[in-house]
Amino acid sequence: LATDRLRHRRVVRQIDGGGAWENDWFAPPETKLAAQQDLDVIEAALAQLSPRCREAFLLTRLTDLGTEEIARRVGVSARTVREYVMQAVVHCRRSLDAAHAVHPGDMP
Amino acid sequence: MKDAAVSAHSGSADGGLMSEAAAWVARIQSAEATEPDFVQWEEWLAADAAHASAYDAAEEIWALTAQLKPTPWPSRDELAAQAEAEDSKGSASAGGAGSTRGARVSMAIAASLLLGSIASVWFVLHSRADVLETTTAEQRSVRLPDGSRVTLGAETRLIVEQQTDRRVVTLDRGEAYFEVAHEPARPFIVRVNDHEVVAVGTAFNIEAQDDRMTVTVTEGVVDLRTVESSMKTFVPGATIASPLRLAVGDRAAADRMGNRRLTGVAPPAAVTAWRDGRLEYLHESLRTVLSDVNRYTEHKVVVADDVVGTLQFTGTVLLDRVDVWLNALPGTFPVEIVEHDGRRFLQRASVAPVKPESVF
Repeated sequence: LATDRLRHRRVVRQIDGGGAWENDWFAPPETKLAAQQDLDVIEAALAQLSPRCREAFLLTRLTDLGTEEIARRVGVSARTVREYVMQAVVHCRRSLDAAHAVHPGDMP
Repeated sequence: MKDAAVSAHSGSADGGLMSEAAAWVARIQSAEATEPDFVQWEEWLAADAAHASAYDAAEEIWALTAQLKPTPWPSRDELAAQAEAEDSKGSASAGGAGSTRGARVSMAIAASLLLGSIASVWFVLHSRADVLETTTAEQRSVRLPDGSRVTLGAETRLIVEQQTDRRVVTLDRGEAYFEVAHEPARPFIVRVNDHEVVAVGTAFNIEAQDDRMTVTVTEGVVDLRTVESSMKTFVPGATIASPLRLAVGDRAAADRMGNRRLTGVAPPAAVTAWRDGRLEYLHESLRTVLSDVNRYTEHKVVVADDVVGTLQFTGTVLLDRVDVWLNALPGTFPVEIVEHDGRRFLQRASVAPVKPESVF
């Protein structure tokens, strides 16, 4: 039931045009290029974070380790891991907004 | 989770909302999310129109970062050097407040594997990837966690990664036969160099040779697509050409230059005969035959002559008698095997007419 709602929300977003780049193998080159530029911005933003913050965030996003396990690996509390993840998302969002503000044409 | 969102309210009004949205994305998108989480999330979304757009903005970041590809870090030594640099900078910004000196040292060692971030993520992923390998003349059949079955030919190396949204197998070298468990939501992808074979539920054979790969479909349908290496780093699955669709009996070859072509319809039984201890060929070049045969013998034979390599072979090689077949070659073709520095070379026979084709 809950996942249905989440799926519904996703579908609506895709129809809206958001997430068109998402795993789209056959996207036109300019779409891929824009997605690539966004990823470059994200990478640069992540590099500015403290090592532990970056670590906690990347382990959260790129592995299926649970919060407790990530906390153990990074050497902080689970609560701090959640804080780190939040900080990372906010920092990436601001960086991406700033990049789009400089090159408004890149806005999806 | 909720407390994290609330405590983040310290910044500016906008920053606070974004922090809150970020906390919700992390909570809702987590595998650990529960039904009450969703209920509270919907209440939060409904509470203020700004919440939904903040959530979408945070979710976009969430989705984007899924495409970051952990890249293999050069070496463990390099990581250690980096860890040392971090330590001298006094990066102990978090954790271990009351720890003893001994514990700190061991933490530093543990941290040496964690610093470098993307590298350490790669380690985590890599440690969960299974490497399947066979030696000369060895064959093995393995059932993968998803229920698919893989049969490895000799001198074959496979790296298996099972992810939540896809099943990825990399064929480093050799030959393998795949019987894929039907699971439409998680495509089964076999990577060979810059090529990918994508299946949903089907069976096919792939052989990786020095300069090309060959795929033969024995059941169902697969797509053969080519991935541009530079794109692959950031956008997994990015393709430079439309996929080539292959159906039962189709056989296609793809080389390192990105060229792909259908090489005709093959009798599926012949292509997978290796699993029953035989290699079967119909008008196949000796060069290709020998690259297969060599995986089944310690006494490898190098084709030393391009003309010899193009001679056509039709017939059967018994895998438990590869050396007998090799020694019989000069009786069938105008060739001879000479030993040089402990290696064996196949070359044109000194005196013999060249027969373009011969049937064993």
